[in-house]
Amino acid sequence: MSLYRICTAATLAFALSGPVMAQTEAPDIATLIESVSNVSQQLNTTISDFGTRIDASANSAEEGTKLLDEMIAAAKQVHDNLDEDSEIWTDLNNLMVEWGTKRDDLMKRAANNASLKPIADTWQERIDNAMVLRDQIREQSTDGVVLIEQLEAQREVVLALYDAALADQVLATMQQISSELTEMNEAVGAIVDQAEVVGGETVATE
Amino acid sequence: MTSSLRKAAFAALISSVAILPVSGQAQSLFTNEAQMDDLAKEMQGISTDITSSMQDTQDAIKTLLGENGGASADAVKQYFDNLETQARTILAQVSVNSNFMDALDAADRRLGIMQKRFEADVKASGGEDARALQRLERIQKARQDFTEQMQKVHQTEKDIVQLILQNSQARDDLIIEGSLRDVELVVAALSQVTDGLQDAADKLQEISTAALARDDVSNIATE
Repeated sequence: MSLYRICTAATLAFALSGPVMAQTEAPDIATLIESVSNVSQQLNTTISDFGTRIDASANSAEEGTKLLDEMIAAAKQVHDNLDEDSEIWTDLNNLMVEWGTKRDDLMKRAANNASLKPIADTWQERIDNAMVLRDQIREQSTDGVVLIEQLEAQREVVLALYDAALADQVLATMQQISSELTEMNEAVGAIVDQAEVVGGETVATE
Repeated sequence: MTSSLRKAAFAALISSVAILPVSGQAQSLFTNEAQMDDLAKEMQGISTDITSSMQDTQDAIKTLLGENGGASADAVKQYFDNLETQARTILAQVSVNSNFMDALDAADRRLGIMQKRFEADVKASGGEDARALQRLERIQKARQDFTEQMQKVHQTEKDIVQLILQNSQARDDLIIEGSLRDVELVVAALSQVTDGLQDAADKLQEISTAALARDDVSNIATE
């Protein structure tokens, strides 16, 4: 997903979510999209030069250790941003509750004004899409826990390989770690895509 | 569903998620046992209230039929209002911000972690370890079942929203200017909402039954 798409979606949603923004401290979809986009961009930036640095660190334990620590820190950062205590998780839940209230209110008013019913249905659809996003975030948070465990175990292996001067195996293991982080990056990208789907519907109906 | 069965359904729902084991030590899926105890007590209290309210409504329906329309509109309005209150109480419990959903989320995270660890075990063995493969298949099945249960909770939330709307519309349509419009329609509307709430309770009972079937999860890690 391009930076342009992230910025466009975030800006558009931000611009069209005025009434929500007016509420002090209230979460809004623009902020949520911006937050998940930031997580994705940070990870993307962090891992972008791993390929060249892995080659450079093949014969330098010091460089390799530094790189490994950065790889683990990147995974931890993603996990911290998506876990059950994160702002993103809390904001998403609060948004869904707020949308549920709007849906209920519109449904009640639709009894006397049938034109409101499709709008109430759209809020329900938005909640359903947000539920998919919620599942993706929970899944990524779960994956992150195990990935961090695996990376820490692999770190020990790499350090032992440096000690034994087995450069080829160092490279292979580091590349494997890098590839696992790339997979994480793709999963976070999918979360951003789904957040845009949720936000896009805000644009369509407000 | 009888009141005692309904009461048992809610209790079973809570106890099921509270005792769902996750590791070789058969630990709870939840990290905070005291919090889960409080949640179980809270849910049991709610279930008692709902059971009582449903019984009141059923009695009211009988009275309405017996008196052939002689019941006061205010009393009937109160029944509709009570049903909405009870429906909203259930709705609050299945909201994404509720303690109950927090508990389900936590359980799903822990099942997910188990699954990923088992996947890593299978990968490390090159798919050659039959026991690891079997363990993975079982946890995958357990997690899939759990995911379906969570989806049912979400569907129940949507059903209850519809019930509240239906209840509200019936109340407005059937009580006009302090008079009952049609006793038979009132009875039908109250019965429909009561049945709907019972259906919701039945769905939650199904969820609890399915969750209870996850007793095998406790043994997976050690086999």
